[in-house]
Amino acid sequence: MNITWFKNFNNIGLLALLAVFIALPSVLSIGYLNIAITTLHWMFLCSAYSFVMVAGLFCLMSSVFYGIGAYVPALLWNYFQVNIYVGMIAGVIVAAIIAVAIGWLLFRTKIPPLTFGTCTLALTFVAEYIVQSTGSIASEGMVVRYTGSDPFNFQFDDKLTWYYIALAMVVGIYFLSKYLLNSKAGLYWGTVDENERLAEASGVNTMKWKLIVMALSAGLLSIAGTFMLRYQMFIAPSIVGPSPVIQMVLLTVIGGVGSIWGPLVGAGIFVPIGELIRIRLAQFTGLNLMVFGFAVVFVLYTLRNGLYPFFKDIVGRLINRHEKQASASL
Amino acid sequence: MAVFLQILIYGLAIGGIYAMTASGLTLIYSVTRQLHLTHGVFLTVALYLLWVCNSSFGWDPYMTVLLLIPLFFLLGLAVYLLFLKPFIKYPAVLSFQIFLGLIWIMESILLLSFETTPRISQSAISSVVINLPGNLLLGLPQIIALVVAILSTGIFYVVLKTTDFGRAVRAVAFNSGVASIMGINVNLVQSMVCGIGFILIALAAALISPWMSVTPMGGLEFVLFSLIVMVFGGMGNFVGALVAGVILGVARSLGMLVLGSALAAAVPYALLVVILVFRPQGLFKPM
Repeated sequence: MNITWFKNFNNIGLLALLAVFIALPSVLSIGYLNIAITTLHWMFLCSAYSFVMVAGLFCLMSSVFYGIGAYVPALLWNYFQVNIYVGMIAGVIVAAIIAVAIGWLLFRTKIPPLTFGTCTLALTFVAEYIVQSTGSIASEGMVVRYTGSDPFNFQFDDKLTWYYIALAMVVGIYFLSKYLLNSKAGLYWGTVDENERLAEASGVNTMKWKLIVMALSAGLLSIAGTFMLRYQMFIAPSIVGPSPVIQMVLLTVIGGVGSIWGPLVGAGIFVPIGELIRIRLAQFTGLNLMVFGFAVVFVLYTLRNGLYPFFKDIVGRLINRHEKQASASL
Repeated sequence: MAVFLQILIYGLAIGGIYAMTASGLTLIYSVTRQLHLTHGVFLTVALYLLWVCNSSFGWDPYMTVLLLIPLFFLLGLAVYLLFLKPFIKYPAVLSFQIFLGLIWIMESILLLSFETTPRISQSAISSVVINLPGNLLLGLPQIIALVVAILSTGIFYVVLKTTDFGRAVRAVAFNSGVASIMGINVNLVQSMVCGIGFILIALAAALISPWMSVTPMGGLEFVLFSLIVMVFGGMGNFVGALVAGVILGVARSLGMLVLGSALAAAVPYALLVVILVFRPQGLFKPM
């Protein structure tokens, strides 16, 4: 990050955006701060989810990993007083193991992506039933034990701290995506997406790379689950059900699959809209879902690739026209 | 023993319904290669339409279905023209996502209109029960559902095997490009098949409305069950859908007896995992 990095227009833009986000809480009331935290949380979720989309896997069981990240630390903390950070690591490990196991089971049958998608979606339903049927406190909605503000146990009372943690998570996953997608791993995932048979024939171990991306996505989602656990202090079984993952898919698709900014844009625009609708127009239950639905149908009908490539295209054209005018006037 | 038989009949009836919707779904899939995810939501819509007619005007669902069938045929054509035809050339994942969005739109409209209270229609024969020897009580609506399900699947199977239209459908399912070269109007076949699939939905709704309550949010799960039936029976095979539907319905209701209702809903999914591990192409080959 030497001086030339700063001179790059893109990077200045990034820094400016980061500055805006850092300064944002000072102008937001507590209600809007809540919405901002939820937005950042969903930006993280969609980015974590989009890793598997990059590799061409239409994996719809992300809710299960998200829920594991919430339930494992919660159960360990409530019943065994295990530190939440340790619980978080345990959640990541459990999620990664399940991701690899299910991935291995389903990948070796060589089913088409659509069947893979429906099977993983079915697994979220199964997970929800299993959680609901345990008959323990987890089955109806679990409240996490609260023992006061404790940074070493991932418990903060101050909303502001949660905002900056969420922001740090989004920044972290942005740089992680940027690094991974431009590295050898990104190339391998790209080839698996393009043409899996050709990749296999070229010597890429597709099974290994698909399992790696599943485990990576699962681990990140699990971390997000622990964040949500501590932020909300309450988990319901629906977290492992189909709703979160469908929302992740829809937001990622609206923003544009395959780019790093796509999920961030999709979540960044539509989560605030959805939350505002949910809070202001609370008498119309489900209106925010309808808005998401309309957005997806509209985007896929007209823009095909998503909002972010569309914006990029427009901005690029404006810049080109500006440059052309500038050079024409010389 | 009587309880077991009753559960069996209930499972067979439910299985027949799954078979009907799965047959429609598998037909639509085989000619368009897109998964019609809103199949279950339209079943919910049909059930609500029947309920509205039943509670506001007092019409019997078995009568209202005669109105519903042409309406749903046209609805099928509309869905084909709007959401299936423009995306046939694209990967199926695209239409999957669009249908997911559509599901949320329709379910939220239903939620706004009808709230989450379960609704059930009252038919003249809702509570008619057939008394068989041996303390066996069979509900007439369930029997009718089973019989009509088998009959309708049988009729469509015969149509598919013997008529020219059925041959055209099978040709398009096999290879739509070559079928169009051979002079088959692929668009017409696809739209007709969608219409027929929707007719089956309307029929299935009429069959279950007297004895199953409807809530706005069950659409996605229902279509997942139909998908499981489809995968189980072999994608594109009508008979397979019937057999698999019956197996899954019976397994589900036996599961309710053995495991309790919460875990019983997971039984079809467990069967899906089993079939994917041991025989991913399904029980039967495509027709």
